[in-house]
Amino acid sequence: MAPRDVSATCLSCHTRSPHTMWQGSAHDARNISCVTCHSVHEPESPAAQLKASTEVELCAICHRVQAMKVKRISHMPVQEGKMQCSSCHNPHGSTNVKQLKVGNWINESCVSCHTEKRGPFLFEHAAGRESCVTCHDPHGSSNDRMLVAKTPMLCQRCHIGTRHPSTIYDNLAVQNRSSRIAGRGCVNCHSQVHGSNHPSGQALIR
Amino acid sequence: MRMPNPVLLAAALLLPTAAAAAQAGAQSPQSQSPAPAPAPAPKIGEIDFGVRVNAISGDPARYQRLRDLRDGPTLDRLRYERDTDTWNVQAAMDHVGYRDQRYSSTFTRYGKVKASVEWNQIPLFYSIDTRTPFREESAGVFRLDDTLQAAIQNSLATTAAFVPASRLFELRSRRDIADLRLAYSVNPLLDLKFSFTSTARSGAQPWGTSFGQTNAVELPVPIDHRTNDLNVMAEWSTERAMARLAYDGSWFNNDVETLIWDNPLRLTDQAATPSQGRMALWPSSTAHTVSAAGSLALPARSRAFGYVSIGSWLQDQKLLPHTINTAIAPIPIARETAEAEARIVSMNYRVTSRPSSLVWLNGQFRLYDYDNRTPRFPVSQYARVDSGVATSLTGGSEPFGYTRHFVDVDASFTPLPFMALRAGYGREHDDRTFRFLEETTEHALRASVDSTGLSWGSVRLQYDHAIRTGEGLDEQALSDIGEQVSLRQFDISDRNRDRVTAIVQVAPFDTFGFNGSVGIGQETRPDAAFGLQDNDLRTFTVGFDATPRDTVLVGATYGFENYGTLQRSRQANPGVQFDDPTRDWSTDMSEDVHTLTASLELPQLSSRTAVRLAYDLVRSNAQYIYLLPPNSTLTPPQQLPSVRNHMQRATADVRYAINRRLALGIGYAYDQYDVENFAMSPGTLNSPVFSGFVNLMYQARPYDAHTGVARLIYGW
Repeated sequence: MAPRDVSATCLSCHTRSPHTMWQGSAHDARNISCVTCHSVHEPESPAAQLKASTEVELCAICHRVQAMKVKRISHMPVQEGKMQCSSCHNPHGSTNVKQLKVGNWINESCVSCHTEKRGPFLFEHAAGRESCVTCHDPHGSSNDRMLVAKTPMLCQRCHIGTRHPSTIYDNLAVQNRSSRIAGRGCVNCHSQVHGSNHPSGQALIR
Repeated sequence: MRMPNPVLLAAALLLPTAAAAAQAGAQSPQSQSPAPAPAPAPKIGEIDFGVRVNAISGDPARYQRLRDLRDGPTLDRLRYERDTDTWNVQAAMDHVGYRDQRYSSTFTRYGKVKASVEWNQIPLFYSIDTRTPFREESAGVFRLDDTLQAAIQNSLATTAAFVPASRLFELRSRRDIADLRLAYSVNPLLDLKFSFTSTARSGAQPWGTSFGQTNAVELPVPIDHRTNDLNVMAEWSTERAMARLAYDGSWFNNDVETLIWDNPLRLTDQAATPSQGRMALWPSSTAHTVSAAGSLALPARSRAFGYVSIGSWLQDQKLLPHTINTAIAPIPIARETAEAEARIVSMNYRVTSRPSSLVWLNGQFRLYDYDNRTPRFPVSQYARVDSGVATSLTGGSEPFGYTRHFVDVDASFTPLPFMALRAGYGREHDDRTFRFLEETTEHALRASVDSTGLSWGSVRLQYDHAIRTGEGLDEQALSDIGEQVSLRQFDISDRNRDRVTAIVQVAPFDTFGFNGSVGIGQETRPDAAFGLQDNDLRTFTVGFDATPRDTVLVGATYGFENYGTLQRSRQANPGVQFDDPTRDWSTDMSEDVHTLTASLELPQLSSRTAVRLAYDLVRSNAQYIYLLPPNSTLTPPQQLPSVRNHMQRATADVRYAINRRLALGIGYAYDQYDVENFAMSPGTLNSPVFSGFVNLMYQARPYDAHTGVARLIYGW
């Protein structure tokens, strides 16, 4: 049977919540069928009849880079068994981008757990409000807080204004323990980078 | 009730842990159960208990991080399941008594009811030996020794006086999650679903505060908040049609919304130098969403799907005064509460058709509208870090919002069985408020070849090309806040993107499989004179799995990733410097990551013994190189040291079946982390107090850890 014929057979019964958006989903578009990941007769996993022993192993067959990032020093608790790929993604399709399970945009998925960053706030960081993945790699990173680059370099990709944002913070600054590069870098002061609810919080320092 | 099969029992005892844990919706933490060998979980009860011993040199907090691996007795796993023809009950416990414990239970009456309850804890261990001169007087209020503050204010001492006064403390937080779910089938076509999740976070985390650019203070800010999430849903479905209505509510409540802390430099207020600072922490908020979805089968093997949701995010916490500094005359605030609200409308319409077995078509439209309805909060004068009054460059808040429109069409042609050729086009148009670029449009083309479902393997190849351009650039707004007008913020700037990915899986024999993948990507930003210029990635992976004999399973995967970016800036103050190109500089960042995973399983080393060996390696090396043009007038920078994150982990797990119910397990894990992080190294943060920077000494430090586990596994 062709892959989409296989899926049509399964979908004759599996018509509800998790599977309602399979047709037209990213995996369906790549000619993947239900039996690419599931085996009804010889499952390797104890749950969900997967062809690999764990969900991460299964997803890693195609999503190698994401699976490798999960092993980085800064990561979600996937290796620790507290999350799985399906904690965030619905591989059967969803209304969100990237097959994210919750919400309808990337940020809605992230703030479903990181609720304190939901807001809305009086003053907001536009890039953060637009998308969490502008600054964070949710699969893992070598940088603290799963940032895509170290601070202050990450911040200096957008903030090069006069005085301190445009300054080179080199090894001399490190040796001098400049609060703009040592420790948390820019966030040593701009700690409300996700948004401030303080009337004087426009620079996200209060 | 089914009777336990003796053979199955023995196999289950030899190869326990991960599978059964996964049955309860989780996997066992690696160090709790080093390298467990997976196996189908038998429908029996099982208990896994023993003792764990660690020998750790270096940073025990970084080693444990999201786990609790303290020495002591363990009840790592308890499983119970009873299954009849009409109902099923499961119960599970993991890591009982530790900070990462979990308890869960499910009840299923087939075709009628499915109910589950879970209690789950996730720790986050920052540090065992952070230091601070502050004491927490009450939740969120941090004080220093008045005598020292007075001495420093009167130039009788320096901030170094706080060093001996700094106390040692552990820094950690924890997430406690209670989850209740119920699904009830009214009849074969109609389901009612209910879920309630309550998540509490407690503890503390490192947090930056400031009195100005030369007076940063890091604190262990308290975390004490709870989120309650409720979902109710009704879903009706047949093979031809589906309709769904749902409500989602979320209530976030923070018990510590204000942070107050002393100024290390002063005991009494002065307009330009306060005695204390005050910050607004996360405000309590709520979110409500109602949604409706439906799908309908159409002729020619087609289906239409539609989804609409309307949500409201609300936050109306009382606003703090501009400053806590009593030497600054009160600054009026425009309103007493935040009155923050966002209305979110989302739509998703999709039609998929397969008019013949050769052709598959898909069209989709998505709308996501984040309408920020927060009234603008006008600010002419504000208190700058409690250290004086400044004039706002923007005149107040900028309630940022956006609307995204997505259109996607895909066509797939399957000329050969199990091979699909696909071409697709996507367009994303975004409208924004209060950003320098008000509109962006991205056109994306993609083509892929997918060979799937073949007995010998699969081949997948995809190429993506996307061009994003913007309209409505407001250079004056950049100028008004002191930015270079030719800066382009990388998340909305014009961008050309190309990416190729290929994945090959080959299994020529039942006993051997090979896999490999390649990814190449490049992003350029053609009109960005300043900001992020280029962004490249190169990745490849190779791996194999082999079972040369029924009793031997071996596999390994190696991956290499390279990421590179180039960003440009100009070190300048207002005036002539601002337009001086000899003050330009760039940062060339590159990161190489090598990842290796290997395992050897001997599930039947003898009739009673199973062995699994595993090894993981991650070596990341990153460099941030500063570049100056030949005619630069800047002082040549001292280059930053490389950033190194090297981890390896080796595990051995041996199980011996004493009899058909009882097995003895011995596990050993060796973990090593080698780190060089110039910003957080022990060499950099070697004191809690520097001139102008009070910090927690929260460092990135290496560790070596040996973990031994002895356990008994009893099944019934």
